Amino acid sequence: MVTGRAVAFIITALILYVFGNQTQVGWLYVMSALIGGLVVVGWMLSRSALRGIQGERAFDSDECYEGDTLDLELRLKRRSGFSAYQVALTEICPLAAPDQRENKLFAPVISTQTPLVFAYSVIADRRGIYHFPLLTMRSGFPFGFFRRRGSLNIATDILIYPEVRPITRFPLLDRKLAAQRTTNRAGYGGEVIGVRPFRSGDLPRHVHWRSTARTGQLMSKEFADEQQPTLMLILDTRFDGDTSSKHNPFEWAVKCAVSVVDYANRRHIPFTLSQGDPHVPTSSTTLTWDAFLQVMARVQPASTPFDELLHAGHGTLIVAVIPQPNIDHFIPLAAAHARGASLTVILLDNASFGIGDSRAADLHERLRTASIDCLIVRQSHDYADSFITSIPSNMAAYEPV
Amino acid sequence: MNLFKRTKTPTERTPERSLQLRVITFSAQAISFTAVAYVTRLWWLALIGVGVLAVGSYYAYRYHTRDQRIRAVRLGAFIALHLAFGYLLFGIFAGVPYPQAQFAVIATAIVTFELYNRLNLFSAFGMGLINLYVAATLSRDVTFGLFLLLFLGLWLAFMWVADTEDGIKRSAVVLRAMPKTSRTIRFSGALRARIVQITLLGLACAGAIFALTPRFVGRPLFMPLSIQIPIRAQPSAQIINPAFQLIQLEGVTAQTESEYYYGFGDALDLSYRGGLSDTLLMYVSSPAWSYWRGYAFDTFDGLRWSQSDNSFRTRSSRARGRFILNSRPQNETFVHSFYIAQDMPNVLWTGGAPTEVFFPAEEIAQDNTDGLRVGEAMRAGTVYSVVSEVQQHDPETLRAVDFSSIKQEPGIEAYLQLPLTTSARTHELAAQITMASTTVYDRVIAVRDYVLTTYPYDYFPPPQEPNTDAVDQFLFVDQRGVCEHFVSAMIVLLRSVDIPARFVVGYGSGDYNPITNFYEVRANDAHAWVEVYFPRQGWVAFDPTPGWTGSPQTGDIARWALSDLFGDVQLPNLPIAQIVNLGIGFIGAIVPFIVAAGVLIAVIVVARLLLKHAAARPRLPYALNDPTRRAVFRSYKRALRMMRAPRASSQTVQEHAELYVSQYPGLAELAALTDTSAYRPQPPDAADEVRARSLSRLITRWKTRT
Repeated sequence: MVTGRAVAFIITALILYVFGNQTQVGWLYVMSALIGGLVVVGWMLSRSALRGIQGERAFDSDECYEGDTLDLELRLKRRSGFSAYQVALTEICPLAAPDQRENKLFAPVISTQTPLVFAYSVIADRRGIYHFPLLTMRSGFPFGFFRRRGSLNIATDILIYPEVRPITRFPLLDRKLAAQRTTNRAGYGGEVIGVRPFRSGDLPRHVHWRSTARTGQLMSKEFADEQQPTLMLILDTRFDGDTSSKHNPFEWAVKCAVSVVDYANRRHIPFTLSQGDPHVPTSSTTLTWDAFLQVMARVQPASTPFDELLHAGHGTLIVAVIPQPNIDHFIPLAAAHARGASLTVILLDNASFGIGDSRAADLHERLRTASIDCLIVRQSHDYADSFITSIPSNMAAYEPV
Repeated sequence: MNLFKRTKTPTERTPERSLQLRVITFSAQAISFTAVAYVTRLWWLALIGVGVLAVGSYYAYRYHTRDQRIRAVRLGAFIALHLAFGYLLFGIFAGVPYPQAQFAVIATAIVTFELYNRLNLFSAFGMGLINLYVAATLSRDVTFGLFLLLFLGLWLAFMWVADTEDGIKRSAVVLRAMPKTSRTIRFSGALRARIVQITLLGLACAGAIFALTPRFVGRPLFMPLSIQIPIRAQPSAQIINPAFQLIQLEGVTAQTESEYYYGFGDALDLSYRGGLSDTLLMYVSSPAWSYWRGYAFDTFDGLRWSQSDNSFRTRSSRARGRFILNSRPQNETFVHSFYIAQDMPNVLWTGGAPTEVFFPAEEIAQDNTDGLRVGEAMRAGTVYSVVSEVQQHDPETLRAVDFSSIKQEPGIEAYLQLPLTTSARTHELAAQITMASTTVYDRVIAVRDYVLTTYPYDYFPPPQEPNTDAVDQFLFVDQRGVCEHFVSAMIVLLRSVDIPARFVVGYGSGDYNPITNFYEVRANDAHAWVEVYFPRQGWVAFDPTPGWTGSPQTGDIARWALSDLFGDVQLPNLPIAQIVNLGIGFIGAIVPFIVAAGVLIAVIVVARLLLKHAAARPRLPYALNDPTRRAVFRSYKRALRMMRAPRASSQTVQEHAELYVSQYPGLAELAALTDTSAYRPQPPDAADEVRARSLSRLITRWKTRT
């Protein structure tokens, strides 16, 4: 892009040239040629002002959670040839809060030998997977006659996990701890609770030969159903509110879910996840902590019905996190409770986020009436202190301090 | 459509605090002053200019914010600038040396007091460039290039530093290169390499542009003409040569070198000897190569050349020293200007056939050989311009010229005259040389070539023997000589076969400097050559002297710096003067309307400004309608000015005074007095007025002391 300075120089050269023609003074031709030559040189050199600049971005941690401080380094160097001069750069860091993303930098020189290092710290503002945009560069090298713009692609992806707040007590998961429990239902346990006629597919070693001899037909042993207590986390992904702000019920629901699973993980309780975002496929089997975080870093609102989520997974302990509760949630939850599931429901109070009315309170009331454990999470200025740590033993609605 | 982006930044208008930029600007301006002083030799001008520049630069840096500026200094600079302009006008007519150069330097130095922001500093470079322009028009050698390169280098450094500082100002973070290691040393080496690259590329591009830029040689709007060295004496036929007339004792050769050619006189004696120095006499700016012709001799007595007819025509100047010699030129014309560097004879040198002369005199004389003279010897510093017709003759045309009635041409007998001392063997030689030629032109060429190729040039030939014919001695005895001998021999040989010819004196073209675009003419470029008359074609020049061009006709008009390379590419002349004159004529017709419209617009603008000012001006409160109330208030306002603590419109007098009462004794009382004087029913008495004035003085003194 031609600048006003170049135009001024060209006009000056032309004026001197006209005067040279008028006066036949050779030096005026020389002055005109020198000034014109400078503009030409400026144009020639400006074409390569931003060429050959390469960079890399590095950060200090493989695992980064929302709210963590991340140290980043941007290294710039010129591949070969001459150094680049007077380069203005705009580094957009997508991890940072929106008002802190843009970093305007100025490099008087980018040499071919020693890289320039721009080290900065950033607080990961929000969970998610982030891709750094192109690094924009501008230069008026060498004398500001022409402005060149360019961009540098330094491919950098960073996955930010959701915020995890350590929970000190969660009654549902504290009740049975890690002990096995046996039910009288037939299953795949080790304790024999009876015999029954042989069915196709029964193992031969499970044949109860004495009863077979006694009855004259092939009888098999029937075993009790022995189950490892497994947490089934259900994240209702139905949410039609605004998610542009990091403080919205859905984000908080994700944080609640992760914090609960973290507690279970610390207590060695296996867990499964049932969530409705079809873009983030989730296994119905038990998950590792890392796999769980990968999913929860990416999960976004989706329209999968809540009762489908209830039936999709399995687990003896169910924690359902509902970011946008309403009375429709009651029926599937009550049904699950009726089936004997150990259930705790976490409701996000949308009214406290400034959106919607307080339907959470209505649902909460209905669930209490049905003796289903539930709690309401409201937006407060300190999420960590307000969540779970001071849950009343009777699981009544939680009121932040 | 936005074709370009203005690089205007907030820093352009904000006060410039960068000492580095100011130092660079100061240096560049000082260099431009030195360049002007160098070409004008007015070194005192550079000293004064740089001194004022230093003071102005310091002042502008020290008081760079608007509220710090001292009104008196601004007023002083304004007045000084106008005085300098007056000095320029005075100098133009009073003969002050280089008034335009003096004004450029002084004005630039004065304006330095106003260099407050970045834009001002850029403007300072523009003014420096104007100084260099002035110096360029006066420069005659390549030393000026050094100043030019230095100035441009500083300008580029200025832009580099300014851009870097702007980048730093705009960015929150400045990335700086690496700690000081051995690599840092390599980095600075890289910067040096970059500078070398830019320098070499810049010079290459500038050289290419210089070489490839066409030169539309047109008629300048303003002919170079020195008006500060006017010649007031009446012209005469006499040649006034400032040279010491060399006197040759018979048989003795003068071995000294003179700056002045002994041929520039009323007569030229072939018995004179003497070398010519290498002193530079004049610069000639000309788009075409040419000999610089003085005048011609027609009569030869065997030893001396002289003019048979000393009468002359007086040519009077039209406007601005313009003399029209031929209002209807038949051929292409070109303008050549002469810059006299040493005192010279009162001869106007011309190239080709002059049609117009621009010379600082009221009258010039034109003799019968088309030589031009003025009333007194030309002083160094004289500048004049000549418009001449290109003199290029086609050999075929000259061959076809009919010479049958040559002797009927009026006045031709003077150019066929031969001295009585001409020997028979000279006549025989002439007949022998021209025997094989069928046309007059071929005879001329045969004679020229014979003389040119037969005899060697000798700067110090043997002395002229007494009572001998100089041509005979040259042709048959010495058989070597200087240009006068060759020319005399050729003329005598031509006249022997009835071809009219004459002896022309002047200067060779001199050495051409493509950078300065000047032909540098030195004392030893003084020369003589032959002009042969061809009916209806006029006088045609031939040069029989070895080492010079045989046919000294006007060269092709140079259209490029390196016209030798691009000689075949012809470009049109741009008749700029005519175009401008047409424009001026048109403008002249509408000038009354333009002036009337301008006056009307000015009246409307001023009226609107006055109305706006009157509307914005707060009406005097009733309380200040009384003269004594106003007197007290004036004292109060004077005190505020000295305190440099203006009162905000939202503050009452008392509120304002409370802020400063601890610093200025008497302020509280003055404020109270002002308040009561303004608002009490009866106006203040004389004692109050005196008291207010004394309190104001007290504050003034206190401020001055502290």
